[in-house]
Order: sequence, then structure tokens, then C-alpha cells
Amino acid sequence: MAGAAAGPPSPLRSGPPAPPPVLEVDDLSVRFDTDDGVVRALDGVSLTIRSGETLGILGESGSGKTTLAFAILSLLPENAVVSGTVRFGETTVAGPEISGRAALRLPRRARRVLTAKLADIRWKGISMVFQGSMNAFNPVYTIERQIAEAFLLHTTLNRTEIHERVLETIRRAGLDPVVLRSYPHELSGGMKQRAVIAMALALRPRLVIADEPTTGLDVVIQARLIGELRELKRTALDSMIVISHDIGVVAQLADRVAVMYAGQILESGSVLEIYKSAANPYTKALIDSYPSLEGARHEVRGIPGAPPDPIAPSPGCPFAPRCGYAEAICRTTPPPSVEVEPGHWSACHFAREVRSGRRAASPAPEALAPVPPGRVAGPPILRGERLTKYFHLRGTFAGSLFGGAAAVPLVRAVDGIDIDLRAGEIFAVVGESGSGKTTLGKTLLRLLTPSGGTLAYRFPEASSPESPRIGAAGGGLTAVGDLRAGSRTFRAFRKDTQLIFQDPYDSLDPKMTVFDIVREPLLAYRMAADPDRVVTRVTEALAAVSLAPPQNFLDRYPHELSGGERQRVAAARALVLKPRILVADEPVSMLDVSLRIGFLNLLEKLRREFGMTILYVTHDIASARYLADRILVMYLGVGVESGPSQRILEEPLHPYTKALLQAVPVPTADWNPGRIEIVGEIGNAVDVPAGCRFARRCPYRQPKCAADPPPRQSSGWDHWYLCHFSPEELRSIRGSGEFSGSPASARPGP
Amino acid sequence: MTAPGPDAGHLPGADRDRDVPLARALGTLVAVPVAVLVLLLALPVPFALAGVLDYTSVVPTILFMGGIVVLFVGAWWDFGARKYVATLLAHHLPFGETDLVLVHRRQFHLMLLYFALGSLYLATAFGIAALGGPSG
Repeated sequence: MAGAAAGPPSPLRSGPPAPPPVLEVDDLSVRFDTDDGVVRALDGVSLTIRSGETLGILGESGSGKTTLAFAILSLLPENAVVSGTVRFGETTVAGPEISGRAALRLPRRARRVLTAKLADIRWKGISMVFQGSMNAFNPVYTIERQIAEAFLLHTTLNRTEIHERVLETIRRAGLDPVVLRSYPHELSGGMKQRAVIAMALALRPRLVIADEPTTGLDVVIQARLIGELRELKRTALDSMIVISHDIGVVAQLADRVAVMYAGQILESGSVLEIYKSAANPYTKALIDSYPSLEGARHEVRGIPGAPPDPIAPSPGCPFAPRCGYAEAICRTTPPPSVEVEPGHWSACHFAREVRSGRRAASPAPEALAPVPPGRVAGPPILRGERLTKYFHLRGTFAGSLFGGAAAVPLVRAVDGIDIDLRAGEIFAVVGESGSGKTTLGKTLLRLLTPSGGTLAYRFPEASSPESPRIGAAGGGLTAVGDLRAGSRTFRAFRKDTQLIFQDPYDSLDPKMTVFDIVREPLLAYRMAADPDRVVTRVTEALAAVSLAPPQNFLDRYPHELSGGERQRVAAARALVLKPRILVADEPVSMLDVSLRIGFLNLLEKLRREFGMTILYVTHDIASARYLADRILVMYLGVGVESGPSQRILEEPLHPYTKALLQAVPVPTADWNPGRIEIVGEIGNAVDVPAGCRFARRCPYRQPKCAADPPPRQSSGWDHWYLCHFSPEELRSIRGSGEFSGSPASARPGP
Repeated sequence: MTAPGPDAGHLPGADRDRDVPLARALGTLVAVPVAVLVLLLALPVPFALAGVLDYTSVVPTILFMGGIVVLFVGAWWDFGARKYVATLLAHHLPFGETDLVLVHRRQFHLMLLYFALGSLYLATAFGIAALGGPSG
């Protein structure tokens, strides 16, 4: 881009010289030579980070964020061609003569000197928190050995001194030293991520690059980790780069933000400036794509289209094809970088107009159809009563061989859930990983056979199931929990209920075309006798999920589709049988931030247009609030609170729900969740307490909580929660000082 | 104190979740190669009676090859241990040094068991070949 990087007024150059720059990236471009052509990964990026500063880099997948991080660490692969420079202090760490392919052409002696110089800078000067904490560790080393490795390689300390430094490092990262003897698999996700951060901080580097530091973590752990990183920023970190696609995370951690798109910086400035008065349509669109609790019932629009092909970039603004307000000039001329306010730069032809609001960057949000509290969508269509699903790990062949005599683990994945899905509603099941949400969804569809309880389904009037109906109280519901698989009734039930899986990259067969994938259910149900009818059904299903025109997609393979398109194909496959119930199991968690909201809007459209009943399984309570009429909050296999989503948001009653809501990041720089009032992390569903499942983490716990199962308390409006105490009693416990909440600490989970 | 046992009574699917004892699992592991051995011994009998093949020269060769296969299965198969451990970790269940030692020990025992079964094949092969006497 001509904008953000090129030209004298570099967008991220701070105004008055304050502390000395730690890192200077000057007009950096990186291209990769591949068999398909030249991939332009970075295009004229310039930025400066000064001591004590945290820079957030925000953007979708493929925007060049991670390539920039690798360039800063001088870890670019051999097919990279670099122009521009990266200077760390006085040392050039990346440049046209020393990086990528050019490094191979250096004389041997020069290469050796360069390697030694870079090795000295890596980890000691610049360290990195890599994305995906599980992959950052060697699984056969203990945590202590891995952190000690940094000291062994980069210092001359002896073993005792190293041990002491490791202890100090691990305490600084908020971990109990007991974890040092653990192997990576023994730690929970949050603890592993803290250990990765500890490893990055081990040598007290001047600059830490955190690449998606909270991605893949549950919302409660994420909020706690953000708090800890903010504390580390204050006490132990000199300067930091936070790379993320999550606007909320970047807003919490960064002082300044650079918004990247197609390898260029489209906008940069202070966090407050960017969030309050964005001057670039892309930034505005990103912010608008973020479903927050505040704007929960307003329709949020995603960003249409996909990022440009890095092999064949367009001549003008890279965002122009997706920008709703682009004009002819945007498609032909690269936008200049404009300083709209001191220190606030935007690469847009209309930056000042966009910032001032004279030119609207996206249509104003429209309110979704209001959902009154306690809205009843229709009669129950699927009902589970005291529904349980246990997994006996020793019930398997290998389990009986290797399980040992003493322990007979029984996983209580779903334990006595009562659930009613009403015709035409969207019902959300919310909870952390390991709470049993997915198992509940699969059990409701009879993909897993329930271990106990009853499961009943209301067939449409026209069909005549063989199985007896549940008595008058069941209101025409047919028991499906004990149906023989393969029976006619079971097949009718299976046809009416479909599932969209979490990962669209795994759930589509890469060897099948879109047509074959969507047609497959019709073949399975022997509905493919008439080829013309099959084509019609498939194209109708593709059109229903907004893959238009459908004919363009029929012959394509999954690898030719974006993540959002793949998930739409998965939805079309579920819809082709015209099901009445759809279970969407975390359908957006693997999608890019700009695509998520588009898919959620699609689910809402399906409900409105086809009257479909949707069970939306998610760990993101903000998106549940955005989409669902009612919410069930699950914890370790049990439902702890349920009710209309608006009521849950406005008046959460269970301490766990309160913590979940408190932990949802708000994309503003001044957000402070306070202390997340639950301790530890979700345990396993084996060693569950006899009383309240949440007792071990509850800040309000009393002796009876661990011993007696809590009663279900109703607060009207179809809203109930599972607790020994009324809201007033919870408040009085807190006031009386019996409150047992402890500061967020990182001890091994229960 | 933990929650009482499951109430997995009245749905037929619950039967699948019942615990399979170690003896039964071991029995299955032994039964399969033994059944194959019996089959390999019995199948050529009608052909031998019909004079199509020489039982004492053909069957030992087949059994010898079968024995090598059984030995290799014992040596290379993990008997499902890898998947079992992965399941434990996926469910956040405790899995420590003791459990790992138990898994290794059981794998070692199962390997010896399959070596014994392979040896049974080989011994049977040599026995039958010996009964046939030196061939021409």
C-alpha cells in the first residue's frame, strides 16, 4: 500500500520523541516465492515501538500479522524476499541483505556472525508467546526443564541459580511452583498459557511478542489472563506487541493499535482514538462485527466477501472490493496515509469524512425483532427429562485392559438435564469447555444414546410413528430415547434433526465437491431417485445459506472455499433434508471474526424463514445473547441457570452465570471486569462433588453447598437457577464477610 | 464426598456402558488368534482328505506364516493404549506416572502373550511337519 507504510509521514511514528525506540520497522515488505506465484505477505509496513509501550496488531487471518512477528524475530523462511528494515535497538535484525533468501547467499563467515548475533537477540532481547500453548511445549519435558532451557542456552548461570530464576519466573507469571514438576498435558489450558508466558519472560526481554495469547481459552480464563498480562505490563514488561483478531483482547492490552489488512497497515493510533473515532471503513467494519453484550439485540453486520488474493492484489485500496462505500478512485488508486489527528493515521481516500461521520462507513444497526421476556415460540418439539449421559472409560475394551483395578472413571458428561426446545426458537447452551454442552447436543439428537432419563420428540402431524406416544402429560410427544436404531420412527426422527459441526475444515470431505457433500443426506435417505429433483434440492439448500449463485459452488471442492463458505456448505448439508431441529455446535468458533457474525445472522434467517428450531451450543455468552431466545448455562454436566436470554443478561442469578457475563471482554480501552469471582478452573466430570457442582469454585460457598445438591429456585418468567441461596441471601453472605472468594490465582483446577 | 453412582437403568443403550472386566478383554485377545489357529488347522482337512493337498507339508507353511504375523502383531500393536490415554487426557482425567507404568506393564504382558500365541503357531507347525517326516 502506498498508505500506511510508504511516504515520509509514517503512520505509527509517535509524535514527540519520548523514550528511545525499542523496535523500528521501516517500510518492510515481505514476498514469498511459491509454485503458485509471488505471495505479497507484507507491503510497506512501518512502525516504531518505544520503551514501556504496548502495540496491538489487529486483523483477520491472512492479514500478515504473524509474518510481521516472524520478520521481527528474523525467522522468515528461505523463500522470503525482504525489502525495508527491522531494527531492534541499534541492531538490524531483518533487511534485504540478511533475511530470507538473501541470507543464503551470505559468505559462510558472515552467516555465522549473523546467526550468533540473532541467537543472542532472540529470547534475550525479543521473545515470543506463540499461538497454541500446547504446541509451544515439548510434551516429554517438564515445565521446569523447558523454562530452564532458556537460561542454559543464553546465560552462564549454574544449576542452582537457574532453578532459583525459574522459580522466580513462574511466580511472576502467577503460577504455583508445583507446576514445575508437571508435564504439559497435566496442565489446564489457562495454566499452560501462563507457563508459555513465563517462558517468554524468563530472560526479561525488552520486547515480548504475544501472538493470539488468549485464543482457544475459555472466557473466564481469558479475562483472568488479560488481567494478569495487564499486571505484568505494569511490573515486568518493558514493551510488548499483542497480535490478535479479537478486538476485545487488543483493546484491553494495547496502548496503540495498528489495524492490518492484506499485509498493510490501514489504520493506526491510540486505542481510544481507534475505538471511539475510527477513520477507516475496515476498522469500523471490524468493530461492528463484534457482538458485545451492550449491543446484544442489535443486528450486527459482518464484512462481506473475503480478503484479497495475496498473489494477485488489486491496484487500488485492498479493502475496496469489500467496502460498501468505495468509489471509483478506491479501485484504481492506492489510498494515501492521512493523519486525521495527531498520531492517528488512516489509509483511506475518505479518512476524514469517515472519522467525522459525514460519510457513514456501514449502515446503521437495525434492531432485531424484540424478544419479550418469557416469549413462548411454540409448543415443545423436543423434550429431555432428567437426561443423563455417562461415559464409562473402563467400559471400553482398552479401558478394561489399561484402566487398573482401583480407578473406574465414570465421566458424568450430562447429569440430569431438563430441557424443552420449543418450535421455532433458538435455544443456546452456554458453558466452558468440559461443561457437557456438546454431549448434551449429541444426546438430544440421539447421536449418543442417553444413559438415563427420557427423550421425547413431537413428530409433525402428517407422519405416523410406530412408537407409543408419551401419555397426555407429554402432549403428543413420542419417546425417542429408547428407539431401535434403524427403525422407521428412528429414521424419521434422524431426518428431522440435523447437526452442524464445530470445525468446517474437518467436517467436509476434501475429496467431494460441494454438490456431492450436500447431496449425500439425500442419498442416505433414498431421496435421490430423480436427478433433476436432487439438483433442485441441493441448489435450494445452497441458496438458503446465502451461497449465491449456487451454481458457482456446485463443482468446487472445500479447499477452494473460505472458512465462512465451508461452514455454510455444512449448514446446507444439514438443511437439504429440511429438518425441523438444527443443533449448531460452536459453529463460529473456528471462523474469522469478520465471518462469525455473518453465520449467526444466517441462523437467525433460517429460524425466521423456515421456522426452524435451533439449539446453539457456544462458550460465548455474548453471541448467545445476540442470537438466542432462551439460554441454558451448563457447568460440569448440569444446568445451573436457564431462562429468557434478556433476563439472564439483565438479572443473572447463579454465581457462575455472573462470572461468565463479567468475563466477556468489551471492546473499549477502559473496560475493567474487576475481579472475576470464581476460583480455579473447571475440573473434570469424574470427581464431582455430591452437592453443588460449582461449590469448589464458588465465592459464596457455604458448608452445605459441598454436601447437599442445591434446589432449583425459580424467579418467574421461566427463569430458574440451581443454588441453595436466594439472590438476597447471596448478597447478605457477601456483606457478612463469609464470602470465600480469593484473588484470582493459578492453582491446579479441582 | 462425591456424587452417588449413575442411575442408568431404563434405557437399553445404557447396557453398552457396562464395565467390561479385564479377564473378558484378555479372553477376547487370546480367543481371536486361537480361533484363527483352529480354523487354519481345520480348513485344509477336507482338501487333504480329497487328496488335493499334502496336509503335513502345506499346513505347517501356512501356520509358520501365521505365527510370524501373530508375533508381529504382538510386537507392533499398542492394544488400544494410545487411544485410551488420549481419551483420558481429552476428558481432563488424572493420568500420572503410575498410570503410565501400568499401561507399559500391561502392554509388555500382552506382547508376551502374543509372543506365546505366535510360538504356539510355530510349535504346531513344526509338530505337524515332524509328523509328516522328512519330505522329498
